[in-house]
Amino acid sequence: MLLRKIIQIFLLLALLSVSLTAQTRSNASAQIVFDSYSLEINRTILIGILIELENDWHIYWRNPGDSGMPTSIDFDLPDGFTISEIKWPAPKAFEYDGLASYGYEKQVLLLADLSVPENYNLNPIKITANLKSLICKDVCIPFNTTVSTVIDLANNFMVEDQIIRLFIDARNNLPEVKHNIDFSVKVDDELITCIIQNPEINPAEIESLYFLPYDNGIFKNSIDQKFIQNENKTELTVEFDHFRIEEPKEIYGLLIYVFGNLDKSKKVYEIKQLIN
Amino acid sequence: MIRKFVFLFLVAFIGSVFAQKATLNESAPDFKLVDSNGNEHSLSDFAGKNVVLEWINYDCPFVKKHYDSKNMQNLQAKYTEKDVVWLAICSSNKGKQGNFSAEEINKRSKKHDANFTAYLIDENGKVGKMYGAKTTPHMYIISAEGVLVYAGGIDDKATTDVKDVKGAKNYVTLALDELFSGKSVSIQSSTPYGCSVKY
Repeated sequence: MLLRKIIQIFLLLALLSVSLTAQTRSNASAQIVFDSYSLEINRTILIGILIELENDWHIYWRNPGDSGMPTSIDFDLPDGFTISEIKWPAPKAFEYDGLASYGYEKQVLLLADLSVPENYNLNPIKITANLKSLICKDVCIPFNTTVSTVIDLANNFMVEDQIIRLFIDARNNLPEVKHNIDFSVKVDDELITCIIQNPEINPAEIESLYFLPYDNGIFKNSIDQKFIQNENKTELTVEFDHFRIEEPKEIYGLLIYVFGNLDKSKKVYEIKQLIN
Repeated sequence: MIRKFVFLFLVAFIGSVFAQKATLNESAPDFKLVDSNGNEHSLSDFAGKNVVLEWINYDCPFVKKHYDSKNMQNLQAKYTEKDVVWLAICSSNKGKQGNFSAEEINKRSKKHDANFTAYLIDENGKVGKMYGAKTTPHMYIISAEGVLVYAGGIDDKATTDVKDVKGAKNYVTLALDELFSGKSVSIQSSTPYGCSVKY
């Protein structure tokens, strides 16, 4: 019995020694963090891939825009465990020399739900994330790394304050998927007009409004998108990519409002609308 | 005098507004650039030949992927042997990544055993912007009739990993082989991937 306990503790320590250090590559680092959990209440654990970047560097969103590379993460999990798609906080749009890119500066927490199987015996588990990405400032370098961590499933876990703040910020930056926006589109030769009626927004407070597509190659990537107010509706013009890879069947991505208040607050919605 | 000035201004303004922009299935806009050996080339010099334009920046990791794997050089060799004109174009501005002296360009091209027809210098980015080049690499194919028939990525694996070259769907090969078979190009555009062109 004692021997078994010693082996268990040894195993846990060995796994922790592998995992606790954030993996660092040049100008960026990555680590896995997780939110508080109690498996008696919920068999899902919210985990995050925390990517931290040196000043002036950025990493890319799921659609990198005109250049760069989408960030991708593959997980290695114990048998029976599953993980959701990555939940991407709203990115920042960068524009250099007329080319627009979408990504994150300084720090980003990419979220995913880890599901623990019902019949699992609650031994510690090791999860590994294989990150493939590119980081850029005026030059670009690949940022491909593998990070691991151990989760002790036998006991409830309470996350420290600093990490709680990261999870709160990341959740606040996720797009609202369920909303009451009335959204329709009008297609022209080289552009599409989105007619938007959003009961949560005072149109007079909008400073800028833009659409970031989930898929690249159909819409022109730009942070300079024109919009006008037409009574209680907002009309946003999105241009098609000059070399678009196919005729658009839907408009799917993020609608980002930036308000003219002091802190330039934002509201982000996910939009999915078929194009007739 | 003022009248003449206004007229010249209007001509310049209208010229810039209506500057030619490369468009699929239309005549490829002509350009004239100097290569790394000091020779001048115009697109129109190659009328009657298929032409490949390859936007290049030797220090970009995506360009390195295709040169370190010899993928780009092999394509250049394979198709220039078939009388295709292959023009590498660098639109990196002065002081930006990828902008090298002619001597350095030739040194690097030799080290890589590059097989392009010429390495053209587009320091002011005029040709890059005319063709809407966004990334390095960004590939364009102009048919022997002078029509732009392909614009986009070199292949469908948007990574920096040399291992991904094998097994990737190479759009340039596909388009050129279709042209040689007398077929129309089936995939005329794809999303380019790579570093931003350093205008």
